[in-house]
Amino acid sequence: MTERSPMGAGAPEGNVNALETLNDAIELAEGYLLEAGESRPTGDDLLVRFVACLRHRDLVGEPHQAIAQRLAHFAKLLSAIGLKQGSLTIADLTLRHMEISEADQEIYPAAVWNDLGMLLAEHGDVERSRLVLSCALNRARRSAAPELARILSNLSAVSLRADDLEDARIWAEQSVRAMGKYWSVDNPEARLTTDWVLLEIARIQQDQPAIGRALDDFSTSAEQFIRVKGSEHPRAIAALAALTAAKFEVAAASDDTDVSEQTLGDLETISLNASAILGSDHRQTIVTQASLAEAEFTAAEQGPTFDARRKRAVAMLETVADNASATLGRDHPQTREVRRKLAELRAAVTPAQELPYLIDQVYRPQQNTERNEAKKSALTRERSIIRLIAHAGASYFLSHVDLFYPAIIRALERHIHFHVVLSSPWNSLAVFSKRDATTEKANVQNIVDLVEDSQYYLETFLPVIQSYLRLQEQYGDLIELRLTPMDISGSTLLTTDMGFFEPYLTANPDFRTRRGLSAFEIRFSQSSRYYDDSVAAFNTQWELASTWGQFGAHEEQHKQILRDVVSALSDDKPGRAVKEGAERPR
Amino acid sequence: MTHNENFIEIFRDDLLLGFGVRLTRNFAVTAEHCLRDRPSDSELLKVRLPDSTFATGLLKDYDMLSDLALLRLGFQQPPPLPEAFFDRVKHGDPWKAVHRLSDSDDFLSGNVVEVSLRYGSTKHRVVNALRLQCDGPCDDHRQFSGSPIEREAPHRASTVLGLLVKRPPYCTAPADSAFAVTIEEAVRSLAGIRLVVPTGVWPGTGAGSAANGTAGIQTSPLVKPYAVAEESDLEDDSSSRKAIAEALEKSDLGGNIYPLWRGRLS
Repeated sequence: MTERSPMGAGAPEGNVNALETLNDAIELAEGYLLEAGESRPTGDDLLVRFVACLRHRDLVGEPHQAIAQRLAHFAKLLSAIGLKQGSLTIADLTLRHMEISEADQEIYPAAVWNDLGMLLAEHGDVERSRLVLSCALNRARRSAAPELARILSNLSAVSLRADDLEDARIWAEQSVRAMGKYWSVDNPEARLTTDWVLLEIARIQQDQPAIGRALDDFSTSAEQFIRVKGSEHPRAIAALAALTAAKFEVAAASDDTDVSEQTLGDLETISLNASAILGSDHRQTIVTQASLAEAEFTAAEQGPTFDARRKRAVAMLETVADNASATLGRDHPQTREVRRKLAELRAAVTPAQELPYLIDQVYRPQQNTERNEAKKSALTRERSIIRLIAHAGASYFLSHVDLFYPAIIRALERHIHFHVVLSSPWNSLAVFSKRDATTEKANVQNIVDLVEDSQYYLETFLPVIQSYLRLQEQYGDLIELRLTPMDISGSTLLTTDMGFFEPYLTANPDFRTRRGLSAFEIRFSQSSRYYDDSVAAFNTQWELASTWGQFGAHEEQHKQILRDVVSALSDDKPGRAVKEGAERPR
Repeated sequence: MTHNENFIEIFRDDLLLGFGVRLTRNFAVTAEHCLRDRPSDSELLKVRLPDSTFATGLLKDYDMLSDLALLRLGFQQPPPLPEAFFDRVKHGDPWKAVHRLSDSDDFLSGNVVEVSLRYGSTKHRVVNALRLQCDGPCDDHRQFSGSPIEREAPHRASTVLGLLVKRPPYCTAPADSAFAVTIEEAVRSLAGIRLVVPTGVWPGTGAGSAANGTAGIQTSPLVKPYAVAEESDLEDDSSSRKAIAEALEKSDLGGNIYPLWRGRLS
């Protein structure tokens, strides 16, 4: 490849403050990786500037297989030495380069695509990771590459990260079949991953018989991995911790105190070894300590010193959460999971009235996509009940809006309850409906017609109700919708772990639906006082709102109430003539 | 008395034997030479914890080569997990002994000047220790034997790096040097806190018993430390690439994706 600045010669001579070539940057990053822990006062700046200067145009030229591999290697190095954003930038650049280079011919082998998929997963981009790994898979199948089992196991792991349990299982089972053909003791990681994924699926689904089978298989693959890689390999420690934690859960679920205490002690030993051998900031130390904290919290429920033990477990998890934020990044999916668990445990030990008013994130209008993704993720992870208060609910009930409807369907398929409170179209907000110069002014006679002819009623309210009735027919008691005549101050979405609230700034019902984020939205966890208050508010609305049947039976009354409201507001009252010059009645 | 949750005092009857590091809820480590007449398997020592409560201490294991002894602690009721933080050691790390002779004395402290001093060896094994430079004079380091040494950091909890042990025989280091064995060395040397491997059926062998899914981890000999491949037939350049590949793998960037930790469903 013809290397141009900053890829090659062309950088100003004598500029000792800049990296000139990709090789220079790789060499510097490799040095830092091998000297982990030593200070690097200026190196980070050099690498960051190099990444910033590198552009796709610098890679254009004769496609060269080695370039993509070097870039992927560089991206891995940057991630390993803590320059996460730089790593993601290089990964994006590498992917773009590979896609364009392969416009008319296949160049890069399955292993390179696999590496890129692994990097994207590491950065939390599970959707792109899946797509890239699928490309790797097709490549591996065509060439009968030895990476086939690894790619399949990676697909299973990334599907699990995306909470797609069915896909994860399918990929894991395919990986097992592939390993039957290409079994090799030189690649124990693939088997370890596969058995680990199957254990996690069984845990999530709380399938006790499957957990037992998966435990046996995972124990076997962990042992083999340790025989090949050694017990001090980070993955070995992680596997031991996962295995022991799963055994603890089985014992705790069956009230086997002896075994649960034994496995708890084993978890402590593993956590001690992780800290001492890998260091306090290593990812596997962090997750091992998270496992221990959670297990301790659970075990404490069974003894007389439970209060002190639980509080210590929460304190430990707080430290783990801080370490995860510092090491992995605040937004890393592992960090978010640790914080989610911490919120759950905090809420369990703190009386509701003592919980702080904590906001995890504030979304602004320009963060509409981020907000939507967070909600989808919350819906996907829910295992019990989803509660919603909204004006119209279009995002959740209308498939053509293409927002949360698929997640709701998947939740219902998982037998998750979905309880919804929506605004009645006949509440007093109808007087604020959108009008233009051609629209007749609202009065007692026409207000109901105006509502029934409105875009909101025809294109949102009625379709939402139709969708609800279809879903109710299919899912029965899992889903229930109620209508409230009271004004709703904002939309609230509550899952078991977290809540979202967006205030309505407008009283016009037409502007409260079918639009992006217009003001702001907050996200809070279950350990925030906002969560407790929101649940209480939902329960109140739920009790006061009408079921669909009740609403239908009393709809004429609601319409009349609306007419009465308009009458009270309007000067144009029926039967009264207003004479010119006459005094207005006081 | 210092209130560091890792710090313990060990007594035989009312005689203070020395100090130690509480590693887990039920295990603590001390310098073996502190125990003087080595207690029998059944002799219960008395261990005072930082909150001034007492536990019993039973000698579980000892290692003369590293001057370490492992005590199993006994309680009437299971106490909370100790607030214990451990970490690896780097050259130049500042250190401070948790124990001091009196409240008016300064803490024994300094910098780590060697991280892999050969402390002892046999035909099959080498034990490394830290050599510590001490700020200020210290008449007798033996008064601090078994004391944890920690590294302080702003805005973070102190982390324990190891415990003070006796000067190795025939050591030519300056007389004012102190020596400590790391927690890493401790977990490798002592049964009871060493990583063990689950017993399972290894595919293809047809041998071995089925994995025990009930009692947890089975004991087995120490498995060799983490290594990817034998080095004897690799050139220098390949060795460097191997080291980088190992380092990337250790950072979870070796090409495999693994499940993230998920909290147990409530």
